[in-house]
Order: sequence, then C-alpha cells, then structure tokens
Amino acid sequence: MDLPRKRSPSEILRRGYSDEEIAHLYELGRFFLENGDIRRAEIIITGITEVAPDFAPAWLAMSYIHIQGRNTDGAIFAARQALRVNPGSAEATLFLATCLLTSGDLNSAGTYLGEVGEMIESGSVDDANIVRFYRAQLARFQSR
Amino acid sequence: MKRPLYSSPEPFSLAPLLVLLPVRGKIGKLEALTSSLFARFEKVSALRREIGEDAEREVVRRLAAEEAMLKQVLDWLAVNPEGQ
Repeated sequence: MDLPRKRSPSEILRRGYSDEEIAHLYELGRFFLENGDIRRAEIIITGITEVAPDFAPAWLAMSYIHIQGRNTDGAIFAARQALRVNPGSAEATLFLATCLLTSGDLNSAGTYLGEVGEMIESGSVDDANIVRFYRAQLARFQSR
Repeated sequence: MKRPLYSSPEPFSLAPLLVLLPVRGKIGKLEALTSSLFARFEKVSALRREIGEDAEREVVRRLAAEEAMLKQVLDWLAVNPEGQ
C-alpha cells in the first residue's frame, strides 16, 4: 500500500484566503483594538500577517500593537512592512515617522514626515485625521 | 464648529493612531464565513498534527499562528453569532 505523499513546506503554506475573508478577519482584529483587547487583537493580526503578508492594514495594526506594548523595534519593523507593501501610503509613512521619533532617530523621522508633508501640500492626501496627526508629529519633531 | 460641552469625545482625541487604521471589511460578514473558517481550522489543525516537529520551524510557526487566529475568530463567533 502506498504511503501518503509527504507535503513540501511551500505546499503546506499555499492555501489562499480571499481578499474579502482577509478584510473581514482584519476588521475583527481592529474591533478588538478599539475595545482595548490587545491580546485577542494580536492573535488575529499575527495570523493575518502570516497568511496574507501583503495585506498592508494588518502590518499597520501590528505596528499599533507593538506601540501599545512599548516595543519600538517591533513597531518600526511592522510599519516598514506596511510601507513595503504599499509604498505611497501616508498612514504607513506616518506610523513609521512616529515610531522613529520615539526611537530617537530624528533624521529618518524628519525625512518621512517631510514625505507626508509633501503629500498633504500636493493635495494627494486630504484626510483630516491624517493631517491632524501629521501636524502633531511635526510639532513633536520640532520640539526635539 | 463648536462641539456641545457634554458630547462624547471624538475618536481621534482618544486614540489618534487607532483612527489611522483603515476600515476594510465588516465583522458582521464573518458569521456567513463560519463554515469555511471552521473547515480551515480543522485542516490547519490536521496539518499541524501531520507535520509534527519534522517540518521547518518557520512552517510550524506559521501554521500555529493561523490556527490560533482561526480559533480566536470561531470562539468570538460562538459568543457573538450575529456578528456583534
């Protein structure tokens, strides 16, 4: 009798979720974050970053989770992942600038803040929350 | 525009970073996915048992993260069958 064929690691991991499934799962993670349940949110968000590593919002949420846990290196890594997936994202750039400010890397933080400033000035970003958060981080940067 | 003195604070003033997280889906839609999520959970659990400790550490870690995520969602759905 033939033994079952042993699966390769890539075969094991290649089991796609639909974009819709990932979006709804992420929303549950965000729901937990909104309710302050970081532990449950982290379980959901970690799972999403494993099964859908190119889903940028999950990396942003992961960065937020690390910020809450005061893990600045982890937060920077996650924000960089979000920016890798979505290079033009103002949210990801702001997350990264915020984490870099916390880590004391003012030069890099200033560069990323400058990028967001240009996006706002050019009109490509007009979300009021992004603009407010950018101004707050700019003030933080200038006070250093 | 001025806000009424006793109105609840706006989300941005409570958690500005959280407000920056984009909204992408609807948790209310998860209930309709219960069967497929449960099937995935069973499949991942079986896979973890099948590969045991022989597989690469990375594969084991990924499967564990996926299994934990699915268990968390299914637990939440059991408590919140209507999606909230």
